Amino acid sequence: MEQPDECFDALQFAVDLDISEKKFSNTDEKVYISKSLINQANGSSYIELASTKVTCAIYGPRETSSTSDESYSKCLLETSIKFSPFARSHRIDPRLIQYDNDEDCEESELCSRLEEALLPCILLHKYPKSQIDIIIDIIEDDGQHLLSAIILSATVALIDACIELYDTVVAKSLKKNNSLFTLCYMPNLAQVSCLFFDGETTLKELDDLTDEAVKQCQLLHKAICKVVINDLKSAVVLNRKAI
Amino acid sequence: MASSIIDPSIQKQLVVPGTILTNDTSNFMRGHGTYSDTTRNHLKASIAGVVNKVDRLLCVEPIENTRYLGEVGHVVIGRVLKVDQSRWVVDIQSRLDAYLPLASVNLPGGENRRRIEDDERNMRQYLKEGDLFSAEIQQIYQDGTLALQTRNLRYGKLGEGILVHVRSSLVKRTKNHFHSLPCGASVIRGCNGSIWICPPASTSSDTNSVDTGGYVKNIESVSIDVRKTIVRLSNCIRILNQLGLQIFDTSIMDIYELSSDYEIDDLIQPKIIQTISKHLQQQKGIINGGGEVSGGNGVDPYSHHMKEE
Repeated sequence: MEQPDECFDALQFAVDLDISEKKFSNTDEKVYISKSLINQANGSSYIELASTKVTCAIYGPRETSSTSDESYSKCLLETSIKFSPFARSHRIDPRLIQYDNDEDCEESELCSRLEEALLPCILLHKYPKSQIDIIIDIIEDDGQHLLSAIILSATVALIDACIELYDTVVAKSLKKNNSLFTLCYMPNLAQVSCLFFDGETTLKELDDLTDEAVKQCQLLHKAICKVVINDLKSAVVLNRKAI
Repeated sequence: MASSIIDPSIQKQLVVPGTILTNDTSNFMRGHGTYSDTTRNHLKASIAGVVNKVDRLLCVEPIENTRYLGEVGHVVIGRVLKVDQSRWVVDIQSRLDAYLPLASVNLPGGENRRRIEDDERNMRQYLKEGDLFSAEIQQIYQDGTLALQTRNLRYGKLGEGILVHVRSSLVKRTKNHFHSLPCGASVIRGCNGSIWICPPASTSSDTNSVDTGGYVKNIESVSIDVRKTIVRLSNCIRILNQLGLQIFDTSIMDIYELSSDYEIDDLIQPKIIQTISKHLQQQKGIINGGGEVSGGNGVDPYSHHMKEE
């Protein structure tokens, strides 16, 4: 499959980290990050992780229609995730997908996981009486990287929308023996914002998975920073500010 | 892994959220776009942008600020979203909707007319949902909501014309935002990025507005020449927006004169916009000590105007 030109192997940034050949790492995983694609949205991004492709659009902060008490002190987050019918090898019938009320629905589960991952990272108290709408479109899902691609695309789109964040959040999914492990990490604060595990494993393996995921998150973080700073540089030139 | 600390000369550095700006929180004050991490005694960036250090104030400014931040005294153009009890809720393309209280508008019959109960019931006769009007920001509440007022006869409901949306940071803040351009049209530059272009104000409508308080707008038919001027002006303003130049009466007229060589509908083509940009650089390059013709030399041809202010 052809990759876009700016794909790079995340391991190439491992200049000051102690990286050795590991059982879990897969050096064929390519990453592509791009932002500011959708003009109508306040912020947008497109992420490719291996063969998972996800696009994110952010609208806001804008006036909230909610009248709950907590909306007066902080910002509300509304997430909406949608699968394209061609995202997986079996066609997903859009008419069968239920929103909101269906508990079995994978989309609403992804939404709640995304909220759990992002809420600790946004400065919500800076945007009272407002809400941020995050709309995610899944173009292709390879089974492993979906949740991490969703969280990454939301982070890059939030940065594009100039919404204040505590840190650049990165997420990494690891697959081992049919169990899926996703870690959402804030590198500069050295904090884990959330961790999802589906499957069966021993405690020691869980520790190893966590360490491995943290190291790979740091690499991804460098990749995101590189893309964001490059975009800032070209925006500076475009806006004719003398730097 | 070492946190991304940037070097002490942080002025004008590009940062991402989470970058440490300084370890010395006692000496520096926190500005926009930063937050203080009290557990580690750091000052960190919360948005992606360029660091601006002014004496002891550290702030991070976004390169393209997408949302309008209101200040008292700004002229804005808004659209009515809702008619509430004794106030209108207005969309001014900002984070929150603004309010226009009934007490802040001119009622028909003169400015000092006593307000009666019927005024509240007749609010829709002045402004209803979907109407555009110009106003001034009267005050800002604590949560950031803006309160507007149209007490001056210049403000009020807008009639026929074209509304152009541009980046709010490009609208130059000047003493006067209402311009009567020599090419035969009037322009209202709203600080929130909404620019209104309309036929020139004739003398007869002035006497109208004294009596009706800006309620009734002139809706006689507009001639084809004036329409062409207005459309050409709207395309010129879009060109200024695309090139990232400050929008004020002189810059609009400069682009208007440069655009006279082209057809109105050609002005949206990228090649022609490039050509106009080059001509503009050549024109203004003499004042700036000669700039290159290429687009990205980092010099704003109108920057000398800003220094005069």
